[in-house]
Amino acid sequence: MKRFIAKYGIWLLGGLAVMVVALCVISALSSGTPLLRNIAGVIASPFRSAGAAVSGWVDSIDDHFDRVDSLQEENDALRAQVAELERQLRNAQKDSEENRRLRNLLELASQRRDLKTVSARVSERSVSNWASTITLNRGTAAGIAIGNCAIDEYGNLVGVVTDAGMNWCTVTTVLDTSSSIGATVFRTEQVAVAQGKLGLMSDGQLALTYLEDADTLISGDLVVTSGLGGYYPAGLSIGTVTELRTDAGGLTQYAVVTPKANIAHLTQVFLVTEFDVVE
Amino acid sequence: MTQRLITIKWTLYGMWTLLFLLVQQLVMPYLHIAGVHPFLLPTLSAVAASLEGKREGPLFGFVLGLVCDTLITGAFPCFYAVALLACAAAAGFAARHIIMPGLICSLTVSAAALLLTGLLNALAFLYRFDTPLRSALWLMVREVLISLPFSILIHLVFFRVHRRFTGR
Repeated sequence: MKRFIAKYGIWLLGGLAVMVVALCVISALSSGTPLLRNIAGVIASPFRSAGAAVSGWVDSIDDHFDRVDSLQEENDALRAQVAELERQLRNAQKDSEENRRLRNLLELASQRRDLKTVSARVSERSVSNWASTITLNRGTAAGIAIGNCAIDEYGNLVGVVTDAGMNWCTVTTVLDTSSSIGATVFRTEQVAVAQGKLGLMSDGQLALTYLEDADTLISGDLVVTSGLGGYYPAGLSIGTVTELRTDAGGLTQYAVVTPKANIAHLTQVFLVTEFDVVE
Repeated sequence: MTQRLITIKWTLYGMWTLLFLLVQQLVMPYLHIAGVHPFLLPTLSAVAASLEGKREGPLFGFVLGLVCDTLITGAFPCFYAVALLACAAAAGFAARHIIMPGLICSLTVSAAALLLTGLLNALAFLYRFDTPLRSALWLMVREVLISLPFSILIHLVFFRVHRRFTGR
Protein backbone atom coordinates (compact mmCIF):
# COMPACT_ATOMS: atom_id res chain seq x y z
CA MET A 1 0.00 0.00 0.00
CA LYS A 2 2.86 2.29 0.92
CA ARG A 3 4.57 1.50 -2.34
CA PHE A 4 1.32 2.10 -4.26
CA ILE A 5 0.88 5.52 -2.65
CA ALA A 6 4.53 6.37 -3.27
CA LYS A 7 4.28 5.32 -6.87
CA TYR A 8 0.75 6.60 -7.80
CA GLY A 9 -0.07 9.05 -4.99
CA ILE A 10 0.85 12.12 -6.91
CA TRP A 11 -1.35 10.95 -9.84
CA LEU A 12 -4.27 10.22 -7.52
CA LEU A 13 -4.01 13.60 -5.81
CA GLY A 14 -3.82 15.28 -9.18
CA GLY A 15 -6.87 13.31 -10.40
CA LEU A 16 -8.88 14.21 -7.33
CA ALA A 17 -7.91 17.88 -7.69
CA VAL A 18 -9.05 17.84 -11.33
CA MET A 19 -12.36 16.20 -10.26
CA VAL A 20 -12.95 18.77 -7.53
CA VAL A 21 -12.18 21.63 -9.84
CA ALA A 22 -14.50 20.10 -12.46
CA LEU A 23 -17.31 19.68 -9.97
CA CYS A 24 -16.79 23.25 -8.74
CA VAL A 25 -16.97 24.54 -12.29
CA ILE A 26 -20.14 22.50 -12.99
CA SER A 27 -21.74 23.73 -9.75
CA ALA A 28 -20.85 27.31 -10.54
CA LEU A 29 -22.26 27.04 -14.05
CA SER A 30 -25.50 25.23 -13.06
CA SER A 31 -28.53 27.25 -11.85
CA GLY A 32 -30.46 26.54 -8.54
CA THR A 33 -29.03 24.43 -5.75
CA PRO A 34 -25.44 23.49 -6.41
CA LEU A 35 -25.00 19.84 -7.21
CA LEU A 36 -22.48 19.22 -4.44
CA ARG A 37 -24.73 20.76 -1.82
CA ASN A 38 -27.65 18.83 -3.21
CA ILE A 39 -25.82 15.53 -2.93
CA ALA A 40 -24.56 16.37 0.57
CA GLY A 41 -28.06 17.48 1.60
CA VAL A 42 -29.63 14.27 0.27
CA ILE A 43 -27.12 12.16 2.16
CA ALA A 44 -27.40 14.22 5.38
CA SER A 45 -31.20 14.56 5.38
CA PRO A 46 -32.07 11.25 7.18
CA PHE A 47 -29.34 11.89 9.71
CA ARG A 48 -30.67 15.41 10.24
CA SER A 49 -34.19 14.06 10.78
CA ALA A 50 -32.94 11.45 13.23
CA GLY A 51 -30.87 14.09 15.05
CA ALA A 52 -33.81 16.44 15.15
CA ALA A 53 -36.02 13.68 16.55
CA VAL A 54 -33.47 12.83 19.25
CA SER A 55 -32.87 16.47 20.17
CA GLY A 56 -36.64 17.04 20.12
CA TRP A 57 -37.12 14.10 22.46
CA VAL A 58 -34.39 15.31 24.82
CA ASP A 59 -35.76 18.82 24.62
CA SER A 60 -39.28 17.59 25.37
CA ILE A 61 -38.00 15.66 28.42
CA ASP A 62 -36.18 18.70 29.68
CA ASP A 63 -39.21 20.81 28.93
CA HIS A 64 -41.39 18.28 30.75
CA PHE A 65 -39.27 18.51 33.89
CA ASP A 66 -39.23 22.27 33.65
CA ARG A 67 -43.02 22.29 33.34
CA VAL A 68 -43.48 19.85 36.25
CA ASP A 69 -41.33 22.08 38.43
CA SER A 70 -43.20 25.21 37.42
CA LEU A 71 -46.56 23.42 37.79
CA GLN A 72 -45.54 22.21 41.24
CA GLU A 73 -44.66 25.77 42.23
CA GLU A 74 -47.86 27.07 40.70
CA ASN A 75 -49.84 24.34 42.49
CA ASP A 76 -48.26 25.24 45.83
CA ALA A 77 -49.01 28.90 45.25
CA LEU A 78 -52.61 28.09 44.26
CA ARG A 79 -53.07 25.87 47.30
CA ALA A 80 -51.88 28.68 49.55
CA GLN A 81 -54.19 31.07 47.71
CA VAL A 82 -57.16 28.67 48.07
CA ALA A 83 -56.47 28.28 51.81
CA GLU A 84 -56.29 32.04 52.22
CA LEU A 85 -59.50 32.53 50.22
CA GLU A 86 -61.27 29.83 52.25
CA ARG A 87 -60.18 31.55 55.46
CA GLN A 88 -61.45 34.87 54.10
CA LEU A 89 -64.72 33.20 53.07
CA ARG A 90 -65.20 31.72 56.52
CA ASN A 91 -64.56 35.12 58.09
CA ALA A 92 -66.89 36.74 55.58
CA GLN A 93 -69.64 34.22 56.33
CA LYS A 94 -69.20 34.82 60.06
CA ASP A 95 -69.19 38.58 59.56
CA SER A 96 -72.16 38.34 57.24
CA GLU A 97 -74.11 36.34 59.84
CA GLU A 98 -73.25 38.86 62.53
CA ASN A 99 -74.06 41.69 60.13
CA ARG A 100 -77.49 40.16 59.47
CA ARG A 101 -78.18 39.90 63.20
CA LEU A 102 -77.05 43.48 63.79
CA ARG A 103 -79.17 44.73 60.87
CA ASN A 104 -82.17 42.98 62.36
CA LEU A 105 -81.35 44.54 65.70
CA LEU A 106 -80.98 47.93 64.03
CA GLU A 107 -84.44 47.48 62.55
CA LEU A 108 -85.70 46.50 65.98
CA ALA A 109 -83.93 49.51 67.52
CA SER A 110 -85.66 51.83 65.05
CA GLN A 111 -89.00 50.30 66.04
CA ARG A 112 -88.26 50.09 69.73
CA ARG A 113 -86.37 53.24 70.61
CA ASP A 114 -86.95 52.65 74.31
CA LEU A 115 -84.73 49.54 74.39
CA LYS A 116 -81.04 49.92 75.15
CA THR A 117 -79.22 46.66 74.46
CA VAL A 118 -75.82 45.05 74.95
CA SER A 119 -74.73 42.27 72.60
CA ALA A 120 -73.41 39.01 74.10
CA ARG A 121 -72.35 35.60 72.84
CA VAL A 122 -73.55 32.27 74.22
CA SER A 123 -70.57 30.57 75.84
CA GLU A 124 -72.24 27.59 77.51
CA ARG A 125 -75.56 25.75 77.72
CA SER A 126 -77.13 24.15 80.77
CA VAL A 127 -75.40 20.96 81.86
CA SER A 128 -78.45 19.59 83.68
CA ASN A 129 -81.56 18.23 81.97
CA TRP A 130 -83.62 19.76 84.76
CA ALA A 131 -82.86 23.38 83.88
CA SER A 132 -82.77 25.52 80.75
CA THR A 133 -80.07 28.15 81.09
CA ILE A 134 -77.42 29.73 78.90
CA THR A 135 -74.21 31.41 80.01
CA LEU A 136 -73.14 34.57 78.16
CA ASN A 137 -69.76 36.27 77.80
CA ARG A 138 -70.87 39.66 79.20
CA GLY A 139 -71.33 40.58 82.83
CA THR A 140 -71.57 43.44 85.30
CA ALA A 141 -68.54 45.15 83.72
CA ALA A 142 -70.70 45.66 80.57
CA GLY A 143 -73.61 47.00 82.59
CA ILE A 144 -75.52 43.71 82.89
CA ALA A 145 -77.58 43.20 86.02
CA ILE A 146 -79.79 40.45 87.42
CA GLY A 147 -83.29 40.87 86.02
CA ASN A 148 -82.22 42.13 82.58
CA CYS A 149 -84.13 40.59 79.69
CA ALA A 150 -82.35 38.66 76.93
CA ILE A 151 -83.78 38.91 73.41
CA ASP A 152 -82.72 37.61 70.00
CA GLU A 153 -82.06 39.90 67.02
CA TYR A 154 -85.77 39.99 66.14
CA GLY A 155 -86.81 41.13 69.61
CA ASN A 156 -88.16 37.73 70.69
CA LEU A 157 -87.78 37.06 74.40
CA VAL A 158 -85.11 34.47 75.27
CA GLY A 159 -85.07 34.72 79.05
CA VAL A 160 -84.00 36.74 82.06
CA VAL A 161 -80.57 37.21 83.67
CA THR A 162 -80.60 35.34 86.99
CA ASP A 163 -76.90 35.36 87.86
CA ALA A 164 -74.18 37.82 86.86
CA GLY A 165 -70.41 37.97 87.37
CA MET A 166 -67.87 40.50 86.13
CA ASN A 167 -67.53 39.08 82.60
CA TRP A 168 -70.28 36.46 82.50
CA CYS A 169 -73.96 36.11 83.24
CA THR A 170 -76.48 33.29 83.30
CA VAL A 171 -79.80 33.66 81.52
CA THR A 172 -82.65 31.45 82.65
CA THR A 173 -84.65 30.88 79.48
CA VAL A 174 -88.44 31.13 79.21
CA LEU A 175 -88.52 27.29 79.07
CA ASP A 176 -87.06 26.82 82.56
CA THR A 177 -89.44 25.67 85.30
CA SER A 178 -88.47 28.62 87.49
CA SER A 179 -89.29 31.15 84.74
CA SER A 180 -92.52 33.13 85.21
CA ILE A 181 -93.25 36.23 83.11
CA GLY A 182 -96.30 38.48 82.84
CA ALA A 183 -97.78 38.00 79.37
CA THR A 184 -100.61 39.22 77.15
CA VAL A 185 -102.32 37.47 74.26
CA PHE A 186 -101.83 40.03 71.48
CA ARG A 187 -105.17 39.41 69.70
CA THR A 188 -107.50 39.29 72.72
CA GLU A 189 -105.37 41.39 75.14
CA GLN A 190 -105.98 38.70 77.73
CA VAL A 191 -103.48 38.94 80.58
CA ALA A 192 -101.79 35.70 81.72
CA VAL A 193 -98.49 34.29 82.97
CA ALA A 194 -95.94 32.57 80.71
CA GLN A 195 -94.39 29.80 82.78
CA GLY A 196 -91.87 27.07 82.16
CA LYS A 197 -93.05 23.53 82.86
CA LEU A 198 -90.84 20.48 83.36
CA GLY A 199 -93.03 18.35 81.11
CA LEU A 200 -92.82 20.85 78.25
CA MET A 201 -89.19 21.98 78.64
CA SER A 202 -87.62 19.02 76.83
CA ASP A 203 -90.01 19.63 73.91
CA GLY A 204 -88.87 23.26 73.76
CA GLN A 205 -92.26 24.66 74.83
CA LEU A 206 -93.74 26.57 77.77
CA ALA A 207 -97.18 27.12 79.26
CA LEU A 208 -99.50 30.12 79.38
CA THR A 209 -101.28 29.87 82.70
CA TYR A 210 -103.78 31.86 84.82
CA LEU A 211 -105.99 32.34 81.77
CA GLU A 212 -109.34 33.98 82.47
CA ASP A 213 -110.98 32.75 79.31
CA ALA A 214 -108.91 30.00 77.74
CA ASP A 215 -111.60 29.09 75.20
CA THR A 216 -111.12 32.34 73.28
CA LEU A 217 -107.57 31.34 72.36
CA ILE A 218 -106.85 29.92 68.94
CA SER A 219 -103.79 28.16 67.60
CA GLY A 220 -101.25 30.68 66.35
CA ASP A 221 -102.21 33.46 68.78
CA LEU A 222 -99.19 35.61 69.51
CA VAL A 223 -98.15 35.93 73.17
CA VAL A 224 -96.12 39.01 74.16
CA THR A 225 -94.75 40.37 77.43
CA SER A 226 -97.26 42.50 79.29
CA GLY A 227 -94.71 44.80 80.89
CA LEU A 228 -96.94 45.09 83.93
CA GLY A 229 -95.06 45.77 87.14
CA GLY A 230 -92.15 47.30 85.25
CA TYR A 231 -89.88 44.27 85.55
CA TYR A 232 -89.67 43.57 81.82
CA PRO A 233 -90.29 45.65 78.67
CA ALA A 234 -93.78 45.38 77.17
CA GLY A 235 -94.48 43.94 73.72
CA LEU A 236 -91.60 41.48 73.37
CA SER A 237 -92.73 38.35 71.52
CA ILE A 238 -92.67 35.25 73.69
CA GLY A 239 -94.22 32.74 71.31
CA THR A 240 -97.37 31.45 69.67
CA VAL A 241 -100.16 29.32 71.11
CA THR A 242 -100.00 25.73 69.87
CA GLU A 243 -102.74 23.97 71.79
CA LEU A 244 -104.93 24.09 74.92
CA ARG A 245 -104.51 21.52 77.70
CA THR A 246 -106.11 20.84 81.04
CA ASP A 247 -103.76 20.65 84.03
CA ALA A 248 -103.15 17.50 86.11
CA GLY A 249 -105.89 18.48 88.60
CA GLY A 250 -108.42 18.71 85.75
CA LEU A 251 -109.73 22.07 86.94
CA THR A 252 -107.88 24.73 84.96
CA GLN A 253 -106.70 25.03 81.42
CA TYR A 254 -103.37 26.23 80.14
CA ALA A 255 -102.11 26.95 76.64
CA VAL A 256 -98.95 25.36 75.26
CA VAL A 257 -96.76 28.07 73.73
CA THR A 258 -93.93 27.51 71.25
CA PRO A 259 -91.28 30.22 71.73
CA LYS A 260 -90.51 32.53 68.82
CA ALA A 261 -86.80 32.56 69.71
CA ASN A 262 -84.85 29.51 68.55
CA ILE A 263 -83.45 28.85 72.01
CA ALA A 264 -81.69 25.56 71.17
CA HIS A 265 -79.55 27.15 68.45
CA LEU A 266 -78.82 30.64 69.78
CA THR A 267 -75.27 31.88 69.38
CA GLN A 268 -75.76 35.57 70.10
CA VAL A 269 -78.32 37.43 72.21
CA PHE A 270 -78.97 41.04 73.19
CA LEU A 271 -79.48 42.03 76.80
CA VAL A 272 -81.94 44.85 77.48
CA THR A 273 -80.34 47.08 80.05
CA GLU A 274 -82.81 49.99 79.82
CA PHE A 275 -86.43 50.34 78.67
CA ASP A 276 -89.54 52.48 79.16
CA VAL A 277 -91.81 51.26 81.93
CA VAL A 278 -95.48 50.78 81.01
CA GLU A 279 -97.75 52.58 83.48
CA MET B 1 -49.19 2.00 98.66
CA THR B 2 -46.88 4.93 99.38
CA GLN B 3 -48.11 8.48 99.86
CA ARG B 4 -46.50 9.46 96.57
CA LEU B 5 -48.31 6.76 94.60
CA ILE B 6 -51.64 7.66 96.23
CA THR B 7 -51.11 11.29 95.21
CA ILE B 8 -50.26 10.31 91.64
CA LYS B 9 -53.31 8.01 91.46
CA TRP B 10 -55.75 10.67 92.62
CA THR B 11 -54.10 13.26 90.36
CA LEU B 12 -54.78 10.92 87.43
CA TYR B 13 -58.38 10.44 88.57
CA GLY B 14 -58.67 14.22 88.87
CA MET B 15 -57.32 14.86 85.38
CA TRP B 16 -59.64 12.31 83.77
CA THR B 17 -62.55 13.75 85.75
CA LEU B 18 -61.65 17.24 84.53
CA LEU B 19 -61.65 15.96 80.95
CA PHE B 20 -65.07 14.33 81.43
CA LEU B 21 -66.35 17.58 82.99
CA LEU B 22 -65.21 19.49 79.91
CA VAL B 23 -66.97 16.94 77.68
CA GLN B 24 -70.09 17.29 79.82
CA GLN B 25 -70.06 21.09 79.54
CA LEU B 26 -68.96 21.55 75.96
CA VAL B 27 -70.17 18.49 74.04
CA MET B 28 -73.05 16.78 75.84
CA PRO B 29 -75.54 19.71 75.73
CA TYR B 30 -75.53 19.34 71.95
CA LEU B 31 -76.24 15.56 72.01
CA HIS B 32 -79.99 15.79 72.44
CA ILE B 33 -81.76 12.44 72.27
CA ALA B 34 -85.49 12.30 73.10
CA GLY B 35 -85.26 15.83 74.53
CA VAL B 36 -82.45 15.06 77.02
CA HIS B 37 -78.68 14.91 76.88
CA PRO B 38 -76.31 12.49 78.65
CA PHE B 39 -75.44 13.43 82.25
CA LEU B 40 -72.08 12.04 83.42
CA LEU B 41 -71.50 13.56 86.87
CA PRO B 42 -73.22 10.89 89.05
CA THR B 43 -71.50 8.16 87.03
CA LEU B 44 -68.05 9.73 87.59
CA SER B 45 -68.61 9.77 91.33
CA ALA B 46 -70.15 6.29 91.55
CA VAL B 47 -67.59 4.45 89.38
CA ALA B 48 -64.63 6.02 91.22
CA ALA B 49 -66.18 5.10 94.58
CA SER B 50 -66.95 1.52 93.49
CA LEU B 51 -63.29 1.04 92.57
CA GLU B 52 -61.64 2.95 95.41
CA GLY B 53 -63.70 1.91 98.40
CA LYS B 54 -66.09 3.49 100.82
CA ARG B 55 -63.75 6.13 102.31
CA GLU B 56 -61.83 7.74 99.44
CA GLY B 57 -64.80 7.36 97.07
CA PRO B 58 -67.26 9.53 99.03
CA LEU B 59 -64.53 12.11 99.63
CA PHE B 60 -63.90 12.23 95.87
CA GLY B 61 -67.65 12.53 95.24
CA PHE B 62 -67.98 15.34 97.75
CA VAL B 63 -65.06 17.33 96.28
CA LEU B 64 -66.41 16.78 92.74
CA GLY B 65 -69.84 17.93 93.95
CA LEU B 66 -68.38 21.11 95.44
CA VAL B 67 -66.56 21.85 92.18
CA CYS B 68 -69.81 21.31 90.24
CA ASP B 69 -71.76 23.54 92.63
CA THR B 70 -69.41 26.41 91.86
CA LEU B 71 -69.86 25.91 88.11
CA ILE B 72 -73.46 24.71 87.72
CA THR B 73 -76.67 25.81 89.36
CA GLY B 74 -78.40 22.84 90.99
CA ALA B 75 -81.97 22.30 92.14
CA PHE B 76 -81.01 23.68 95.57
CA PRO B 77 -77.81 25.14 97.13
CA CYS B 78 -75.02 22.53 97.37
CA PHE B 79 -77.18 20.11 95.37
CA TYR B 80 -74.24 18.41 93.63
CA ALA B 81 -72.16 18.10 96.83
CA VAL B 82 -75.05 16.30 98.50
CA ALA B 83 -76.07 14.23 95.47
CA LEU B 84 -72.59 13.08 94.44
CA LEU B 85 -71.59 12.34 98.05
CA ALA B 86 -74.70 10.16 98.40
CA CYS B 87 -74.00 8.46 95.04
CA ALA B 88 -70.39 7.72 96.01
CA ALA B 89 -71.32 6.45 99.49
CA ALA B 90 -73.96 4.12 98.03
CA ALA B 91 -71.60 2.90 95.29
CA GLY B 92 -68.76 2.29 97.79
CA PHE B 93 -71.09 0.30 100.03
CA ALA B 94 -72.46 -1.72 97.10
CA ALA B 95 -68.98 -2.55 95.78
CA ARG B 96 -67.83 -3.72 99.21
CA HIS B 97 -70.86 -5.72 100.35
CA ILE B 98 -73.15 -6.53 97.41
CA ILE B 99 -71.38 -6.80 94.06
CA MET B 100 -67.73 -7.30 93.07
CA PRO B 101 -66.07 -4.24 91.46
CA GLY B 102 -66.01 -4.59 87.68
CA LEU B 103 -68.00 -3.57 84.61
CA ILE B 104 -71.32 -5.00 85.89
CA CYS B 105 -70.78 -3.29 89.23
CA SER B 106 -69.97 0.03 87.51
CA LEU B 107 -73.10 -0.20 85.36
CA THR B 108 -75.24 -1.05 88.39
CA VAL B 109 -73.89 1.71 90.62
CA SER B 110 -74.06 4.20 87.72
CA ALA B 111 -77.74 3.39 87.17
CA ALA B 112 -78.38 3.70 90.91
CA ALA B 113 -76.47 7.02 91.08
CA LEU B 114 -78.39 8.44 88.12
CA LEU B 115 -81.68 7.33 89.69
CA LEU B 116 -80.67 8.83 93.05
CA THR B 117 -79.72 12.19 91.46
CA GLY B 118 -82.95 12.12 89.41
CA LEU B 119 -85.02 11.42 92.51
CA LEU B 120 -83.38 14.29 94.40
CA ASN B 121 -84.12 16.58 91.45
CA ALA B 122 -87.70 15.31 91.23
CA LEU B 123 -88.25 15.89 94.97
CA ALA B 124 -86.84 19.41 94.71
CA PHE B 125 -89.10 20.15 91.73
CA LEU B 126 -92.16 18.69 93.45
CA TYR B 127 -91.49 20.87 96.48
CA ARG B 128 -90.54 24.10 94.67
CA PHE B 129 -92.70 24.15 91.56
CA ASP B 130 -95.47 21.66 92.22
CA THR B 131 -94.32 19.75 89.14
CA PRO B 132 -96.42 16.66 88.28
CA LEU B 133 -94.62 13.53 89.52
CA ARG B 134 -95.17 11.80 86.17
CA SER B 135 -93.25 14.50 84.25
CA ALA B 136 -90.36 14.33 86.71
CA LEU B 137 -90.17 10.53 86.64
CA TRP B 138 -90.37 10.43 82.84
CA LEU B 139 -87.48 12.89 82.58
CA MET B 140 -85.51 10.83 85.12
CA VAL B 141 -86.02 7.59 83.21
CA ARG B 142 -84.95 9.15 79.91
CA GLU B 143 -81.87 10.67 81.55
CA VAL B 144 -80.82 7.31 83.01
CA LEU B 145 -81.29 5.48 79.71
CA ILE B 146 -79.40 8.07 77.66
CA SER B 147 -76.55 8.44 80.17
CA LEU B 148 -75.94 4.79 81.10
CA PRO B 149 -73.98 3.77 77.94
CA PHE B 150 -71.37 6.42 78.78
CA SER B 151 -70.66 4.72 82.12
CA ILE B 152 -68.89 1.94 80.18
CA LEU B 153 -66.36 4.48 78.88
CA ILE B 154 -65.90 6.00 82.34
CA HIS B 155 -65.46 2.51 83.84
CA LEU B 156 -62.78 1.59 81.27
CA VAL B 157 -60.80 4.76 81.96
CA PHE B 158 -61.09 4.64 85.76
CA PHE B 159 -60.47 0.89 85.88
CA ARG B 160 -57.21 1.40 83.97
CA VAL B 161 -56.06 3.97 86.52
CA HIS B 162 -57.14 1.69 89.39
CA ARG B 163 -55.36 -1.38 87.98
CA ARG B 164 -52.18 0.57 87.33
CA PHE B 165 -51.76 1.29 91.01
CA THR B 166 -53.29 -1.75 92.70
CA GLY B 167 -52.50 -4.44 90.13
CA ARG B 168 -56.02 -5.89 90.58
